[in-house]
Amino acid sequence: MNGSILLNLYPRSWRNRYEAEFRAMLEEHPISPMEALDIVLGAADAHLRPQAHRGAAAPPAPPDQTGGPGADAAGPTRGQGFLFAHIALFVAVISLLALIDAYFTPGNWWVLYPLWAWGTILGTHAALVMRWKGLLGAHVVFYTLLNAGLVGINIVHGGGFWAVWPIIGLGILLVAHALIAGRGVSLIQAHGVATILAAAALIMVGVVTRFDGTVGVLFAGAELGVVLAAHWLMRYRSWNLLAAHAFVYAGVLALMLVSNLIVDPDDLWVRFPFAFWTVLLIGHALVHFRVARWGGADWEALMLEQLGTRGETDRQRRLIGTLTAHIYLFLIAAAGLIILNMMSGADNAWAAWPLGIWYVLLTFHAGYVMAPRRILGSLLFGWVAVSIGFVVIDLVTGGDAWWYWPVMWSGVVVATITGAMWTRSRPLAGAHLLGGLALAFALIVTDLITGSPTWWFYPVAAIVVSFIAHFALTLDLNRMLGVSGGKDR
Amino acid sequence: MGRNQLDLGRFAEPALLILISLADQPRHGYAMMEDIVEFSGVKLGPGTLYGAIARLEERGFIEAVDSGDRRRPYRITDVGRTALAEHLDNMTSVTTAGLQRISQNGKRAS
Repeated sequence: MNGSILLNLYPRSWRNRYEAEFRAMLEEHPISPMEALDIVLGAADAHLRPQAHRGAAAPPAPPDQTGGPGADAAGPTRGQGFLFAHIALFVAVISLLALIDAYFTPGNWWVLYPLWAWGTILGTHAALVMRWKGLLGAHVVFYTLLNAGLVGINIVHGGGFWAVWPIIGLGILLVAHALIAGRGVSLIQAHGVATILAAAALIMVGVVTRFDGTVGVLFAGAELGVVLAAHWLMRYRSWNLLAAHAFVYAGVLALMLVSNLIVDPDDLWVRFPFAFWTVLLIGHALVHFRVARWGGADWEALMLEQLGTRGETDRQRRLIGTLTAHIYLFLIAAAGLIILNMMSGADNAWAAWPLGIWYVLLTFHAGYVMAPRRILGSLLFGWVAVSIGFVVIDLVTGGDAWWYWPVMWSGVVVATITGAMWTRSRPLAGAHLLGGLALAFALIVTDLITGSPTWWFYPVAAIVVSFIAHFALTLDLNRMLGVSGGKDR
Repeated sequence: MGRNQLDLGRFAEPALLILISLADQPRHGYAMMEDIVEFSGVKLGPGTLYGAIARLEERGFIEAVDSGDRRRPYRITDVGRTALAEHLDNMTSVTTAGLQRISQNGKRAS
């Protein structure tokens, strides 16, 4: 068996360093299927832990590699590796969903929603990895793709040109970002510009839609002003985060109460945000006074650091800070989109699509930051979120119950990867065991659901046999029998 | 200390075998595989071998030698030799302790 083709599974940086000698070694003896598997696992290891071969010294170039690449040659970074994996996963999952869509719900092209939403995330990911104009570039890509999809949905579903609102609303955030990135203004100056633009946009919304709502819209603009004032107090009056939070809480709720009493005195809806926010504020106070712990003892200091100096300490602190900023951005955008959705008068909750996909992205991010094993945590968090998404889409679209198919079979893949990553010392055994159990479960459930003549016993029996065979292969019979030499031969 | 230096997860045992193989002379990948089979009876797969080589190079325990051949040989560095010696010392202590206890237990039983 010629294993040279398997070399293509290794990352380019690894191949630049070891390919010539590895190929020479393979040419000296044909490899067995087990050795081929070993090469595949070695390739997975090289992708998962690239620092091992990147940290290796640059080799002296062999004579037949005239001008050939050495260890310093530009291979894909780890981030690029994840991007390629992301693209592959995107293509595979979207293809699968397209098939499910075409088979179970022909004519209802719901697959376009995940295609657009995930494509938006993928485009943003690509922009980040390719370092196109840094974070601002990723923001531009995200903004463009998101709004292109919203415009498309708007055109298809009709109901007035509501897509203009996210273009304006999110455009304000983009403008603020561009101002900061261009180093023309400070963070608080950009915040001020964004607040003014947002207030102007809100007034415009009131004018363009129903003038009756202008009072509420004006109050919303004033609430943004309260947030800006809190930012100023923190920055120039050294208020701590809890004090600033309490200031925003009091200011915004007071404005909401007045707005509520003016616009709709019969329905005191302000009690809902009041109750929810009060709980949040109490939680913040408990953390502030160290009664409860969340996010580490210096959580507040980190938050202030993010909002103010952007100082960098160790990697985990930076990661937590970035995640926190991501959560805030998500919440702000969610609030904005939901408001726009409600104000646009559309008869469908179109905001759920971008928010749902963003939520999935956020869970991947949270898993990466919070879990002890970053990639595994990201995978598991993300899978749970995606599964919830499938269930929700299924329930909302009201089609046949199909959610368990993608959830269950993607679960088999996730279980296999989890098994491999969990048992670092024996990834193959872990993948086999956990993946095999998940596969057996999926097969039994599939059999029960389809209601065909019972057939699950046969593949499940094969899985059990493969477990036994795997266990037998791991036994060191030579040592058990006292025979020396040729352990794996 | 040596034991920690060679703490390379599932690559710990292959790394140890590679260091032992290179302790007397430089060898290229295939020669290492053959040598390791000869002195230990363990045949390392190609992926495992190069996974361990990359880690050992990263830690400076071995280094590539300019040979003018595609089959690039590796040699053990002074750091690698020290780490190997310490690791083997540890193993010797553990082995001696184990053998002594077996021996004492055997005497008691008899």
